[in-house]
Amino acid sequence: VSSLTGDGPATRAELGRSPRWLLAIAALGAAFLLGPILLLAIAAPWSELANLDPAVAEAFRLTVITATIATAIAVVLGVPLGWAIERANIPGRRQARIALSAPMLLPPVVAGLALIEMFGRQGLLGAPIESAFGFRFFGSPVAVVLAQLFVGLPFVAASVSSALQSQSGDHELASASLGASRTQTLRRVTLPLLRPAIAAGAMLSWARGIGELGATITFAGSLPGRTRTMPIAILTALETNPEQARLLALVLLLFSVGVLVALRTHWTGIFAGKR
Amino acid sequence: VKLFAIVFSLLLLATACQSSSDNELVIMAASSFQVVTDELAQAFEADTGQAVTFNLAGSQTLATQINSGAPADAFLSASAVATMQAGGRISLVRPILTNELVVLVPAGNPKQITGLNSLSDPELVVVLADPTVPAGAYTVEALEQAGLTLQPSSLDPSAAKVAARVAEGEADAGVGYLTDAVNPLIHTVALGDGVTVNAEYFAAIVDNSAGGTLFLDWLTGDSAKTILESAGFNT
Repeated sequence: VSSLTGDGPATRAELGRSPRWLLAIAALGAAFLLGPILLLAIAAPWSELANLDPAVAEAFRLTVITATIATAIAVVLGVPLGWAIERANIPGRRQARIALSAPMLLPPVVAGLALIEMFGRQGLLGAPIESAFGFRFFGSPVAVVLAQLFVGLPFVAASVSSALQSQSGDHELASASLGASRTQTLRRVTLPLLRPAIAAGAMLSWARGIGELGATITFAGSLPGRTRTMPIAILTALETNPEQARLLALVLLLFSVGVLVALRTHWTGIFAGKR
Repeated sequence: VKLFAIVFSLLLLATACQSSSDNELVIMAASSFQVVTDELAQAFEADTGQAVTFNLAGSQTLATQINSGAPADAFLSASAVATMQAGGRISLVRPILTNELVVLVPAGNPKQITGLNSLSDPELVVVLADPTVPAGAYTVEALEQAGLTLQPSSLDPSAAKVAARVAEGEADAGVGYLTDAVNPLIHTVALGDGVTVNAEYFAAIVDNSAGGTLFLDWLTGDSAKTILESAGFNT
């Protein structure tokens, strides 16, 4: 990689030459993804932006806060999880790896039902928690965070484990052979190597959390100010005020894309600087 | 070119997934008809030899779909407003049915709820439909009649979601339709205290469809009436 970046742009372009038809297919894919969103943006009643329901700000704030908390927890849990399914010396690691990808394949509504089985009012943990502390997940923002965490955590774990897969482990070996303890090696060698993967996983998890609908409405409910996130507000508005729904969808989209682009620029900046 | 051919044939394959006959009638029906669509479709086909399929969604969503050119022969709506918003393609709008608003409780009524009044107990988890959807607007009307203000745990985007929460036992009670009791996990309790609210359903023909006219005429006949009434609709 370093030899590439060191050379002039002409060499780069020459080396990077690829068949034209590949570019054509890529353009088709891009048009398919971006075309509908552009049309949505054109059709949105932007002039209505000033008269948005104040409840929208509430839903927006709730969505951003819960998705951010869920992502933070997803990183704390997902990094060790991703490491464990790739590197840990435990029996059944391969099976665990397959099992842990299941939440990514579940339709979100089903994920919501599964969460009800565990944390619902008659759930394995939900029932004892309610009787011991009088706390109910249903109708609480905590449930929103759990729903977002459930769908987001696999992204962090998968991102970390595939990054580990493509690393040989030689750096860790070298570190250990130089007398570093396991924790030192983890902190000084493994984690810095994983940082791009963790960042990518966290961004996916966050974006997935911002857009989470099925699991949230099923498990957490739809109470304004408590559990009604932007996607639920959009779904509700679709029934009565489709124009408003389009507008909400675009506000959410622009915000999420803006944040991700900003973070990406920021992060790649950091990495470029370090290299 | 080969790749384009592959993508194209995959898309063709997807169109093959739609049901075979092109002369099947399409009825756009409000979600609350879900409990009777299978029976209605079977009886209609038995009586007329004509296949019919139901597209179920919230009335407003259906109106939007009709407006944007979705294939349809008739529209069964839970809201007069939505019916009107379906726009120029529809004709012959008429009221066809009513559905009584009731309190929904899990089977066996574990919290011994006796009516709308019981729902003000702060210990209860109560779910309602959002006031912006038809079931929620009827709920607001009922609460106004009763002079009650509730603290719901959720304001759901559809009556079906309210019923599902009661059936799952996540909610102690909800306000929904008498027809929700088709689900054996749900029992109904009258609103009580002289409060009565009836949801009114409207039918309309789309694009002057002959099939749609046939279906709506059949819907007011005896065999459809038996099915609708046994589900709890008032014809």
